[in-house]
Amino acid sequence: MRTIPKEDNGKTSDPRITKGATEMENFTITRRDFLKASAVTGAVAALYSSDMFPLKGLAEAKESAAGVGEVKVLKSVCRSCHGRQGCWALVHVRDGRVVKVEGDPECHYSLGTLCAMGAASLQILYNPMRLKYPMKRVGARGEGKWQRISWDEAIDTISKKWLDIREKYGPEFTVGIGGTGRPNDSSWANMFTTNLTPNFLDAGIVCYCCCTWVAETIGVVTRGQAVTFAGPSVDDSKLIMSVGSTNLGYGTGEATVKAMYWDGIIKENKKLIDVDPNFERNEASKADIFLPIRPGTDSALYLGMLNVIIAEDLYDKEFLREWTTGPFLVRIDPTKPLLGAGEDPGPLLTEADIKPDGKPTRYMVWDEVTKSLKYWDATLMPPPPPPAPPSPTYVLKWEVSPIKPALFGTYKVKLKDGREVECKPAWQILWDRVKEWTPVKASEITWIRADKIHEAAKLYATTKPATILTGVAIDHHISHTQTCRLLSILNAITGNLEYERLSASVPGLKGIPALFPRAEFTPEMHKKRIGAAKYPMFAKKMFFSEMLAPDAFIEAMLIGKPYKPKAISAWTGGGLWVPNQKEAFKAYKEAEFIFSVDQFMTPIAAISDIVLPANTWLEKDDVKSGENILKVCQKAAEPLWESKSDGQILIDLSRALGLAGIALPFKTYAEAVAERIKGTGYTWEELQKKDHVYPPPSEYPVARHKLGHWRRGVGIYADRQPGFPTPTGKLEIYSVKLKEWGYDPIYLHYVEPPESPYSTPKLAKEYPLILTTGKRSPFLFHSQHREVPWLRELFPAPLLDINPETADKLGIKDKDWVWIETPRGRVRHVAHLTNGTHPRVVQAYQHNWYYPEKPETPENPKGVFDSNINVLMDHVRTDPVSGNSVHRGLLCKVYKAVEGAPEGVWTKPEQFKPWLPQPPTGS
Amino acid sequence: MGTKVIGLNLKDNTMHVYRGEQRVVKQVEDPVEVIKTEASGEGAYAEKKILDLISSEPAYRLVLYKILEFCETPRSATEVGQEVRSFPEMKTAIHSPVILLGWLEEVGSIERIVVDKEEERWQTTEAGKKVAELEAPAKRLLELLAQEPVYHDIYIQVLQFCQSPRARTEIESLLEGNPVMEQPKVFPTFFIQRLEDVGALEWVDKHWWTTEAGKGVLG
Repeated sequence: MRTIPKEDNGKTSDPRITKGATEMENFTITRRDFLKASAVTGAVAALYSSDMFPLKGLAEAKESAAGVGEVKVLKSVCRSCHGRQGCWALVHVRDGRVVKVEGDPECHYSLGTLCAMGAASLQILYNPMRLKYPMKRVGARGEGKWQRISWDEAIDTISKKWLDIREKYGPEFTVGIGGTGRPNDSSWANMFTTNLTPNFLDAGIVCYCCCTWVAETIGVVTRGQAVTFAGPSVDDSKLIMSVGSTNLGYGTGEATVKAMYWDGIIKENKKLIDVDPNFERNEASKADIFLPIRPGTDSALYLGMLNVIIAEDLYDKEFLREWTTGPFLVRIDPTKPLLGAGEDPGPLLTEADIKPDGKPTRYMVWDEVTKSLKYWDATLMPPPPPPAPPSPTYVLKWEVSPIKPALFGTYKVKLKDGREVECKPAWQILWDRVKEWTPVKASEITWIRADKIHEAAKLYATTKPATILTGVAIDHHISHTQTCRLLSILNAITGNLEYERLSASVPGLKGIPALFPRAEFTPEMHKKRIGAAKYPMFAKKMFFSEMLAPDAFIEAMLIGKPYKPKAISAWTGGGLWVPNQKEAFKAYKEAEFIFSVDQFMTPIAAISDIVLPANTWLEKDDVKSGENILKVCQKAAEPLWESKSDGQILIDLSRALGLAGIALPFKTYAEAVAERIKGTGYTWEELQKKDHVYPPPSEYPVARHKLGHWRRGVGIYADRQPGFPTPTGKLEIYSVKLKEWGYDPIYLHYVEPPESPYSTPKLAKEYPLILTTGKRSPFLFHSQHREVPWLRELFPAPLLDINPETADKLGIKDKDWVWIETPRGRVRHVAHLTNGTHPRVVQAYQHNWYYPEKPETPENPKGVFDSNINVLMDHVRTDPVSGNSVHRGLLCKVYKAVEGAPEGVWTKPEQFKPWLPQPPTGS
Repeated sequence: MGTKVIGLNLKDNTMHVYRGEQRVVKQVEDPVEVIKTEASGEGAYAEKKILDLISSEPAYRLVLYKILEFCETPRSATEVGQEVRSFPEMKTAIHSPVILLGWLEEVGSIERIVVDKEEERWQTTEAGKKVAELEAPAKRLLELLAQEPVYHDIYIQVLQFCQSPRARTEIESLLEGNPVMEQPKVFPTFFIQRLEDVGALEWVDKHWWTTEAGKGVLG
């Protein structure tokens, strides 16, 4: 711990502590400091300053600095959100009490800034609403009657219940539910759950992870990031295509980092294509081409772009021939020659089809050099004898060299049984399906001007290097799979997947193991995952994280098929993201036993049988690794009340359950962290002294993107074979896995949203507006921070962006409370009139809402049904491959809520005063 | 011939009524509306409250039923406590019998009566008795068997098999490969838990046993 000597007038002699740090001696920072320190700059603050959201403010709880001890400054990493990197922070501590959190100027990507959520960390730490002790309910479920119990009783009760359920029914009868990344602790839920059961209902399915699974059908697996991240970095790119509004926006507190990227775009004169239904000031205002898309129609836009790129010959044919399944011949089913998009065109032609002794793993192409059939050999070789590692080894080579596989054409092929069949390269089939998607057709679907689609396609394909940045918007449709695959193909065929000299964000730190390894389930156990029969992709080990499709979970709980789980472990305010919240809560309540690990009484904690108090990032020693750097998070305050770190709770539970290999041999979280950092070669104390970063800044590894980075052996795959990690070794435009699971292996077809002016015109008469959701507030992270006074003051209630023209017709004025209604129900938001929103679209602004100021009731725990936009979602109609529901692009109606705000909801600054940190005892 | 509502099952939105002497189960859309318009006043409302409690406590559904049945004869707190603790469902319960009695008392399904001027006893109320009738395992098992006829034979097969105590894995082996479980996909535990839910199977000494109610349908 470094100590900064105090000088007169509260100034410090540390030259690095410059920005507002001289006022750090107060027991809490002032509200003004907070706004300054948290990068809530004028423009942003102005956006939220209004009668509804006044910045006049709470009384400033400033305390005299006189007569108190010296201030120590700890270097740490802010974990107020679960940003992948975490912003480096300076934590000011006096007399054992945290008095200020601010950005660390040495952080190479935040340059000393910190977002509002980070700056407000001590209002989380010292919040009187925190869960303080383990408790068990004694009233009816959700009634709010609790009894304090000891940690021993809590752990003993939970473990006995868990062991009993496992024995009676099997391990799959327990389900984990994850929520916000509250610091990075949703991973604890993952660790705990996926070592016990294949059933984990986590927000990852609507937030990046599902892209990873779809990526496996293509072959570019990106360690948990969206598949399109496989392109060049923003720094290296000359063009950025931004999809969705959260790239700069406020997805995580790391927005400051992203803001710098966007500044860079302007300064370096990069091109920007912005795809977003709404004109957002941070992106659309800077864009060269703004594509205001009708929500839910993304795949139509990318089909239109692909059409232009193929028709105008703007793609990399060499890459396509050499590294994709594009030239592989497909046997057209003669009984179904007119099969359309979305339908299986037939199997790949293999050597086994044409020769008696042919191999089914030799895929045939038409060689334009020899004018004959040749094969690509993707045969899996027998495992090498020990002691060689048992990693799979493939042949992966062409039959002849040179070779020029045909991408287009129709070929008659004689099979070994004498029949003659028609075959086409997969790329020809793709083109057959894409050629109707002219910009004009795409325009009719997406409501984007055809000339803009054409212009965007040409600009994207001809500006190199170009990258595609996606927020989570692409996950929120029932055509999520097509969208991910289309963007991946656009990225690959324009030469951006294999662009030389570009940096990449993988492969991560070497020698630093995951904190707790995941269990290796048997294939039988994977098949028992709820939804595995409906979504075959789920019946296997997931690359990144084990998860459930929400519809399958709800069906299991409410209908009981394929079985009905008995118990739930809910971590980090779990489950508020699940579509159709009322059905979801009905489902949660069907569990015989629920325990929650949380910092506050969240809605799911309120319906639990046992709640366990988790502490904050300021109360524990920890490490954060991300972007190739490991950073030490230092404990700044002793854990308050009886709270424990999520990691310690995981260890205590795991030990009680006898889970060897997970928690054992650790008894404490500190031991687990010490084990993890062994790979650095330093002890905890040494890392603290080394400015808390590994490796030191001068040695930061920068992975350089090379040709073949995504191919086996060159990048993150270990078998040292050239090629992608797919059954064919190619980037799979025709996906062998999708075919095996019973889907169209090309899978690029457009699907109209299940509720829309075109698919359900009758419904559209009653619900005439298109609702999109998921826009983020810079002051709140997912379901978090509703208890933090200054943050709630800035953003007390969720907003609904609505066009003034539309609002006028509906008799709605700015800041009116309005009802948003769909066939599933209705919730209240505050109208925010903006010309940036299309007159036929409304946009809900900040999701997963609940009101901590409201009571615990069985019917509406903590007001979870008042404003959580996910009440309105349909959980039944899903993406057939990935299980995603529609969170963007459903029909709704909006009308003024004459009742005003939901009963008991706070909207005035002074109402939040009870949640302000209390002065330290005796000070 | 008048209609008398004797109960509402909020789990499946069914209303149980007497039409004259005949007992009928009707599907209703909105149970609350039924209470307002059709129920014969306070009695049905009391039953709704009890059913609400029972349906919101899946861990204790059978236990609460058993208490109601046990207290149809007035019982001392000690007797109730001993009896409840003997239920296999209470082995890993997190709530004590006292708390469960409190819940039942709060919704008017049991009441304290004074016997012999001094001794206090617990007794099931009239509304509680009606709910106990609706919740009786024998009745619920028959409903289960009729609900999805495709599973009828498997339920019977499991009940027969568990007349001797069986480990879960034995039941899984018994049903392995049964094509009825494929479309829609269900697992052997689906049948175990449904039979347990209605009180036809119970978990004792780490084995599944067919209960008396379960044996009742085996004839």
